[in-house]
Amino acid sequence: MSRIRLNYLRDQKLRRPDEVMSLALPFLQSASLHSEEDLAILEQLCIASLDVSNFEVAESVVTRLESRFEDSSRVMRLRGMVYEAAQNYTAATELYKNLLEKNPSNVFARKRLYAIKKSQNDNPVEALLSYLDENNADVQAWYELSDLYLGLADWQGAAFALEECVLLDPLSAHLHTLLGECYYTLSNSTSEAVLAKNFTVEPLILLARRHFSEALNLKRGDIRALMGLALASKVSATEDIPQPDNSANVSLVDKLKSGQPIVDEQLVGAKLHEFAALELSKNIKDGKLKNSVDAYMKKGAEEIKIAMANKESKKDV
Amino acid sequence: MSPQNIYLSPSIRDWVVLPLLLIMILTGLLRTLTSQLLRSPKPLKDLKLKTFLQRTSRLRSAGGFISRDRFTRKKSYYTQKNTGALQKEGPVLSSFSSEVKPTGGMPNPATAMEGMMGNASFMIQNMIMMNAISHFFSGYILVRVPFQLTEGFKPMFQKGIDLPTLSTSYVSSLSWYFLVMFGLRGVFRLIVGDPSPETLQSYAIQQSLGSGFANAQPFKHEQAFKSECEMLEIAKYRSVIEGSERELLGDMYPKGKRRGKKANRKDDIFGE
Repeated sequence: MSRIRLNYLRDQKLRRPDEVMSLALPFLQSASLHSEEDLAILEQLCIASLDVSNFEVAESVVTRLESRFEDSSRVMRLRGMVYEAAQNYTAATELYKNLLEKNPSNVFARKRLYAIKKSQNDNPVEALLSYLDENNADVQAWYELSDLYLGLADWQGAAFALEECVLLDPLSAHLHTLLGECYYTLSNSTSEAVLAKNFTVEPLILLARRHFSEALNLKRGDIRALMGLALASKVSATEDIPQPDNSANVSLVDKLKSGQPIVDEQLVGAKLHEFAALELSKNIKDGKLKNSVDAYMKKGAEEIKIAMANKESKKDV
Repeated sequence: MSPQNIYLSPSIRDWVVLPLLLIMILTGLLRTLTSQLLRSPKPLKDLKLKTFLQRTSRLRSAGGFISRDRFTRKKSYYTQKNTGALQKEGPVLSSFSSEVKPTGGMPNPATAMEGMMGNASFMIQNMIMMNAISHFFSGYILVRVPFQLTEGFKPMFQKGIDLPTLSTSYVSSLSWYFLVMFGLRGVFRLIVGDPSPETLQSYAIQQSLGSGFANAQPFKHEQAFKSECEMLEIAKYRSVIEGSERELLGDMYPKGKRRGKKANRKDDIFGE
């Protein structure tokens, strides 16, 4: 029975160290070193015991495995992880470097090397970039990079990493939401505004709005994306959107050529705000939170109304 | 054709048909096991270049999900004359090519051999077996299939026997060999069994540990980069993201002023 459950956990790549510990511990001595399934269970047990900081179990598993496989990179990786858990970083680094020397395309060793750099806070960005140089199809790694950049308050870097994520996994609502948040923050800060010219000429607030919308298209009623959309649409409806210069004008010409109607982005912003308000009150279940969000959205809607009226009067003059 | 009744000696069954079957199963097992041994793992040298190409082709396929300006910026990073990452003189490529040994036009003979090894062992084995069987067991029929067949099957079922009057349902030794050879694939799978989940998993782990199986053909990066660069240059930005708001709002989306040519032409004709 426990074998089936362990197999399921392995198969689905679930990380339940407590459960694995209780199920797999009986196998520590009884597992045969010649059955592939038993070996997989031992590996599982080793990683789980590291997760719950039970170093004795991990150590005994690795010693058992090493008694049969002296030169296996799979066992060496476990040994390296045991070193890491004991904070013996120099030994771990050396071991991973050896693995890489034997096989330069050993993805696992490279990842662990990055993890060591990160835990020591030793220029993790550079380590991750060198990993991504070879494995640029790894969404998780790009996501990790965006996280690092966010930690450094480097919004442009984070936006770049998230763009790569979106290119890799364009149908993930979460990634679109995060990218929208990055753009929104970039558009918000005045110090970044100057730098942003090198990043893109399109108005960032519109990009943010579009990515939030795309996230909502992919996942209806996502509260985080709705909140982002509410904020971005309010800004785009109340403030003057900076006129895009030359290369964005090309896109305008393209739009004309394709016969698509030109719309007033400010009006679209107002409509999006309306939509977000509707959806938010529909999707928030908590009564108290709902009331405050509704009130906030109402206030926003009024501000938009005033801004639109102002604009109209300016036009008339 | 009149029904024939030929008495087949039971010693043919005991000493030819069954041993033949046994021999074939054993050699088949031997073959699958040796091919597993011959499949040697090899690190992928071209990994870096290939994943780089994957990255640019991703931009082509999923580019519509990022904004127009960001797309063009990324595109020009790859394709710009002289400095673009995909251009021949680009800094990225030169750093790549210093690591990758130039193979020239000739494919590496060692890698070419590897692909042939499996096939060659299969062919040699087959030739030896066929010769042995036609040498030892020729000239008589082994089995009779329990149904009638048309004349057209004669050369297939009675190889090595030249009897025009013999009913087609009798099978000669060489033909029996062929029939069994093609029919045994399912039996082998039963014996060898599907790879267990652990084996499959360890394949996956091995792959991530970097011992993927090398392609027989060496990767010609210069050509691939050139064609990818051309494809990326002509790639058009097909926006998904710019239509996202319209899709989200549906009927709520404000109607814009149409300024296309169509409207004008309509005016010209109807004068409205």
